[in-house]
Amino acid sequence: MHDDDQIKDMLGFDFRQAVIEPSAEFASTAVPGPVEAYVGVGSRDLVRILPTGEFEDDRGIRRVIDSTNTYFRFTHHPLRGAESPDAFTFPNPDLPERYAHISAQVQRFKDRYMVQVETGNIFRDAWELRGFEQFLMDTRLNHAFTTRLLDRITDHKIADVSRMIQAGADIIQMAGDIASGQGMLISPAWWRAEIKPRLARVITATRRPGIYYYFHSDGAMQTVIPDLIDIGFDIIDPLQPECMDVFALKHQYGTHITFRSTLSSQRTLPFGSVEDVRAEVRARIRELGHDGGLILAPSNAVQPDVPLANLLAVYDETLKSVGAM
Amino acid sequence: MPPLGLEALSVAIIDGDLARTKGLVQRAIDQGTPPEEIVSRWMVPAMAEVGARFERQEYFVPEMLVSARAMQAGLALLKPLLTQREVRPVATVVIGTVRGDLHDIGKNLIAMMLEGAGFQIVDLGVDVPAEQFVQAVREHQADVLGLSALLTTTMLQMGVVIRAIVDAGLRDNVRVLVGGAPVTARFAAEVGADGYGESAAVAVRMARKVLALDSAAP
Repeated sequence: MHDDDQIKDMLGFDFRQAVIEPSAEFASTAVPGPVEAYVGVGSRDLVRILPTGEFEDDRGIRRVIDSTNTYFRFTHHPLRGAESPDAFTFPNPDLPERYAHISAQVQRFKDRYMVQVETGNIFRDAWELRGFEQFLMDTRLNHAFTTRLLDRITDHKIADVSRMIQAGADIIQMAGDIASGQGMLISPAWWRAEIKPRLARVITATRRPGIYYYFHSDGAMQTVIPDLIDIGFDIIDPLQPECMDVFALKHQYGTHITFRSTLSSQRTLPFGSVEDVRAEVRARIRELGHDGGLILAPSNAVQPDVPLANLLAVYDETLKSVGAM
Repeated sequence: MPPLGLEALSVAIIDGDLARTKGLVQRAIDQGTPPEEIVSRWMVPAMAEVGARFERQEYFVPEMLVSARAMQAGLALLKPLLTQREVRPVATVVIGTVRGDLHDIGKNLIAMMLEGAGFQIVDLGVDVPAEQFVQAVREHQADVLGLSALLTTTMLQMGVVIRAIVDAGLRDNVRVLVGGAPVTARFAAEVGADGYGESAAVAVRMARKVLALDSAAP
């Protein structure tokens, strides 16, 4: 993770990120991964580099990076081919070093900023351990395996999130894509039957006053927004404007939930003019920034094709518009 | 009246029932049903139905995967027979995600749908350099080249690939289709593609359209 606090201060970020660290035992056998690709774990992006050139994290998940060193793909999943989900051992939530970065960030920023920590949203944890296509097929073909795996993930997550909160995290980000630009990847009925109640269990078991739960999925996932509100999520990210009507969603759900992001990463930011970007920022603040509001941000990782002037215009226009309110 | 008996095969594929699909294909072979008839009359329409359900959002990726897996298992039993009888695929498609991009969910779904519609698929995987597309188009005498990208930065590679195809003197032999989240019809036209699909569900229709496979029908 970059120590870019000065830039964040200058642009007016209201949040600071903290991460779960790997165990000291894993750290002692690992090295920092290649810059930008984020193939490892923790604040130093630690990985083991295998003789094959694969990068292995503390769960035994292996990745390789692409020819431009910016994205990775998976080459091994620890439960691939396993007979039982019990074959996997989760990282031990009783190791205090796993939450040391959270404590450090909290100590540094707590009086000024919200500290957020990311974990999987159960669906992502499951396919990362099993393999994407295999897990999706399991949901249709191997009900016993699927439910046992999801139960184990949920139990571990409750322990993990409890300790994240004890260490001082303000926002628990539960992330993983459940949709594409066209719609849900898995059936909403399956998600409601298998994932929703388990997410509810995590929130119910860990909620403390002042803690916010944040759900992230790319894509057209609006069909489950009422479900996410129902089980206690406070923030939904990113509301990709290319595949949903963010104004209509605000009108429909806006008093029950805070939306995060909403700026077009696929169109306005890379291809629009500075004035297009400013106009989009003003429209978002005007239309979405009320009733529990809006956390304004680009709707996905900002790619190198976004002109710097466009990116700076996001923050400049935000400070101007909010200052004028 | 079509001959009775193989509706169950279509149902097995639509349901993604691998064992039943294999059993029914084997029984049809044993009963002497011509392999090309098993494919075109009972299997291809089943995958078309799977695609239609996907498009209507009644089916999602898991349902598509298990149906494609059943289809592939059935085809594996039939392939030696089809080769023996010199049955040609509808067309050959070279497909891949362009250089710098590792996203492949959409590309894989499209490959499955095209295979289910009787196309021969040469899947080059992800992060594929232009030269490799050129080589594969030449080697497999591809009728269609399918290029996928998820990122606004990597979709520009599609233009690079198409120029390389032109430079290699292959442009007149192959129709080029592009797709992926940031790709628009305008972008497809700008880079010189023959067509673009906005979702995996329309891939078969687009491929048949650019090859003018249906235009002879009245």
